[in-house]
Amino acid sequence: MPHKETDPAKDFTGLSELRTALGERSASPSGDAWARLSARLDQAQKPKRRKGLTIPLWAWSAAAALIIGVIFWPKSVVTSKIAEPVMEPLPQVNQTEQPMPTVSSDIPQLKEATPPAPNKSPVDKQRPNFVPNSSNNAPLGELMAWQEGAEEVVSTQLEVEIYRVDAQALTAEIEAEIMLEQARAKKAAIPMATTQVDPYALWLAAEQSIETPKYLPVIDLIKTGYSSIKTAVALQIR
Amino acid sequence: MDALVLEAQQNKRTAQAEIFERLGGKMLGVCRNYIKDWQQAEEVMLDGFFKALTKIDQLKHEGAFEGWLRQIMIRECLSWLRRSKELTADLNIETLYTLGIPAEVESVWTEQTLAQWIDELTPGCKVVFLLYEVEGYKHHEIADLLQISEGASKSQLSKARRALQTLYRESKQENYAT
Repeated sequence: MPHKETDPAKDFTGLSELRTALGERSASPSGDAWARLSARLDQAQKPKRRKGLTIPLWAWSAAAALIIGVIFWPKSVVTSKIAEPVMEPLPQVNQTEQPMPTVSSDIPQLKEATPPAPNKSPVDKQRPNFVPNSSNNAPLGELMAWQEGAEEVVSTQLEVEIYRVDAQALTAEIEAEIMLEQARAKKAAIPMATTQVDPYALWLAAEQSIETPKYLPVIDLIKTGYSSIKTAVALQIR
Repeated sequence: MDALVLEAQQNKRTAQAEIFERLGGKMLGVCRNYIKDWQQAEEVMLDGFFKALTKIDQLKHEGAFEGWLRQIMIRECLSWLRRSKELTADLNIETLYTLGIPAEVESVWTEQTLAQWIDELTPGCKVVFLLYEVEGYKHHEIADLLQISEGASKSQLSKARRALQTLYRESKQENYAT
């Protein structure tokens, strides 16, 4: 419900005069009023003194965003963007194919087979001091050839190291392998058994394989012992 | 005045001084309506001028400068009254208005008469009366400005009118008597 003003004093005589007088009311400020105001304005217009190094807000925001990004960046994205180096498989050392009867006689041969140091290798003589780095603008083919040579040297060194360290174990393995091959050969020489087995024939074969003098004395001893125990029990009862 | 305002927007101190010279007295009168103490009223007036001159570049219509400055003064006065806690306490009181009639009331609208009459009103009545009758605010605007209800604004205005009417009658009677 809208407010209806029923105030009897709403339009009392002199209200309009009072309203006008209050609206046009004026007074003289004190003599130093402008001087005080001017001093405040001068103070406000002075540039604010910088306290140390002022870093703008956008710089703080950028730094914060960078830190958060580094912390929370998913690792999968990072790893997927880094090209993994293609590693060619090293030549496997076929230990069984290389006969090594004794360790002592084999190691010197392997040491002789060790390729010379890279700076003395004939491959390096063909490539004058090539060092693969980002600053070198060598052709790609030369780089790949250098990589293959380096891999060969590394694989050979690895092979020699295996022979040197695990020579004894390797010999034992080779001997075991030889014995296994011999057993396999013997097994192959045995004729294959028939698929049907006769139990009675097996029993007879087993009975024949047991020598008679070995089990008859045992039975005799059991009989004697039984008789003596029976006699002793009868005497006690009496 | 418009040219002065434009120069003041360019931060020319002479123009600012001229504006103060022309409008300082009137703005002090506005502040004096709301604040009883002269010195305090002048301080509030200077605060209002300081705010106006430091933000004068935000004024888009130079012709409305005086009205804009007056609004700033009124808000500064209300802010001071709130800080002094006179206004807040009085606006929430629902007691009947008791106005003592001044001993010496003059029949003409002199500065002293205005001061005596207006200053006799309680702060709440005075502010609502001035905002409504002198500044032309509506009740809902006063309610928003003073954080009170519209009913409270109307009530305060009614009390102020009755008190001033009484004062006016008394002054008339004394006038006739003399």
